[in-house]
Amino acid sequence: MMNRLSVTTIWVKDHNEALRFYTEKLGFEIRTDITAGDYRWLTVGLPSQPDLEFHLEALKPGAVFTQEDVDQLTRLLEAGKLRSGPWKTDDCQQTYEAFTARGVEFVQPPTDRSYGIIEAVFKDNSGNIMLLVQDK
Amino acid sequence: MVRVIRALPTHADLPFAFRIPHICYTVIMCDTHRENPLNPQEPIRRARRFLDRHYTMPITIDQLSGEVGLSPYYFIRRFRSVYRQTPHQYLMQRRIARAKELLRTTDLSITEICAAVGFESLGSFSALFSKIAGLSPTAYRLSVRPTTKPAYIPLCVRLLHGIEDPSEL
Repeated sequence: MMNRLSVTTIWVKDHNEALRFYTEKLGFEIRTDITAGDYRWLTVGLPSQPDLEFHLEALKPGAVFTQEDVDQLTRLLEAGKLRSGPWKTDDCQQTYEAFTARGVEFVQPPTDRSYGIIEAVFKDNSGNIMLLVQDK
Repeated sequence: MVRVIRALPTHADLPFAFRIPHICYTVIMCDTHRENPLNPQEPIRRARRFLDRHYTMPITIDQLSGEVGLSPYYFIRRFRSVYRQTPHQYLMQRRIARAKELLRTTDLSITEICAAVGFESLGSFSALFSKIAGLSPTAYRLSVRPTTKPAYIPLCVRLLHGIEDPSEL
């Protein structure tokens, strides 16, 4: 049987800009960074979750995607229609303040929900909507 | 057009083979005899293997095209059409890839790594590293989770993107 998820994908517009954003602003660490020909396999992860990696997949035309595919996905990203998360935090307010100080753009500040959570929504530098959740 | 790629010679960290270039050369020549002369990509693949084995050494485009018996201009064009990079870009990327690996898995200083992968100037190494990797060598090392496990690209991604098994490169 399958055990657990090990790698999942986040679409990004540019590898290097995404890498800087995820490491410098969100506190991710680099897990794998291999280049084969013109393909770069770049994964990052959270220090608190060592067995899960996020593959930052750059949108560019090549063996898999046509320019048209890339344009479509870019439009979806820019329209805020692609998302990741929910990402768990122990302190939504504190994370919100730390991220804001580093220039992360929030779509919604921490908000108390009647169903027992505090949630906030921010964007990564490619336009992915990221949901931040704290259990109360 | 002759582009000279300069580098320091050997370093204690280099794999054994790099310290004995003539043995390496013999191995390459043996490979050559086994290869199919009718396959037009073969000289280009051979050139890439040469770069893979000697990337820490100074390599000129004349030397490289001479190794595979093509004119420099034609060689660069053929290499680019096969690998979507010029030989120079491939060499630089190979050096930076090795530098990333050394930053991840060793405690060599940045200066030592710069020399080990074939750069003479720390300034040009750092600038190129930042351009290719996205972070400066120091920031990169700080961001990396140290690991001793070999890194690999999952099969599903390799199949989708037509990437050869890196262990067979």
